Amino acid sequence: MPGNRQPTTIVPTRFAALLVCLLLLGGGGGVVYAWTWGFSAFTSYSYALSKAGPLPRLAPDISFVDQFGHERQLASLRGRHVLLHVFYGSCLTICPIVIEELREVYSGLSAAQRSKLVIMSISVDALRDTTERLLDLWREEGAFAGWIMAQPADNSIDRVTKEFGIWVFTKSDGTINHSADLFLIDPTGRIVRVISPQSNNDRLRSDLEKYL
Amino acid sequence: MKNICKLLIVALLPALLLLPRVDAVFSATMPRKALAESLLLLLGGCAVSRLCPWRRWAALAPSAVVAATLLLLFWMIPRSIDFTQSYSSANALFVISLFGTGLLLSHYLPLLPGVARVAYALYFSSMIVALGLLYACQSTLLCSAYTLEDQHAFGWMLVPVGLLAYLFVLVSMPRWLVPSANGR
Repeated sequence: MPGNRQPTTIVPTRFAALLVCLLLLGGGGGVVYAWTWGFSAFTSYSYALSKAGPLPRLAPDISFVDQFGHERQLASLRGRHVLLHVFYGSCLTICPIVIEELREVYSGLSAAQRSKLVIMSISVDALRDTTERLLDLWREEGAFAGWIMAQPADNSIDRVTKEFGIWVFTKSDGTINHSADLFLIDPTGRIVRVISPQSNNDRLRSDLEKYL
Repeated sequence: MKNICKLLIVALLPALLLLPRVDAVFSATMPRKALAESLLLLLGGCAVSRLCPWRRWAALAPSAVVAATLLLLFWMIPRSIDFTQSYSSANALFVISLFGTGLLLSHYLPLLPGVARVAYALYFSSMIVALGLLYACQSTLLCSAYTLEDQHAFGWMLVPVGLLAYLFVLVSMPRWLVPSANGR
């Protein structure tokens, strides 16, 4: 009789509990594996870098507008080493430190070494870093002939950062979080080294001297 | 009635922490976000578990502890912390899941055998110390939303927290290892 039925409680069996446990371990492990690019990239920066592919790899042929307003291709710099990084002029934290580090290292190189190297600072701030502002920044940093300050042409910053493996995130207050890695591109157009800017100047200098 | 009121107050903790003004206070520095807010949420979850006489199934205890551990591990990844600062939905997930983790651990950890509890707690507190040392000594920025100084401060705060937790486990060990009336 339906009226005589007692309320039943579903008690999980040991087998069901074990199955749930294994499913959780497998599923959770899978999520963490995917989230960290195979347990190899635990930061936003390293994830973007790992996702772009292992080194050495061919640098994407990007178009950019330099501080003089000339549209150029990255491929046009082949034959020289290129040290590429992203920055934005309004940054108050890591960008001024990296640019200062680059200025010190570049000015410390011999004339022969400088002739083999181009420093390329690409702005990730399309709104504020106009060609005029980039020219001002370039002058402030010493107006070195081998230093290009540029904007990606045709608002292609998303493609550029994705293909290089640079993590960029613009916050609602206008600040831009981004990777500060330096990408060393050899004369054949391959990215051969990614250098962390937090290392000291001597390390960056010795790294460059190996290649120049 | 008194318990229900307490329960409602504690259960409102995640909603309170998601209010923009409160979130701004906790998100301002890494120690506040990754340590103070996390501890607050875990303790809030524990409090809800204590106030609720929900039924506990011993067979589900290992699964619940595994789920809680996976959630904790996920939010220890620097990339996950970055996401909480970049997307409000990720922050909501952070708040709710850590609250749930506290609840699960408080509800189901006592159902594990004493030896398993001791091993788990010793392992976890050691991991907190190791993680603290990693954050404190790493010279590269791990979380893009915070500065290197913040990262080091967080690391040095995490180390004593882990050591205290380790000491607490050592002190509680004899009590945990005594079999209770139900044979555990």
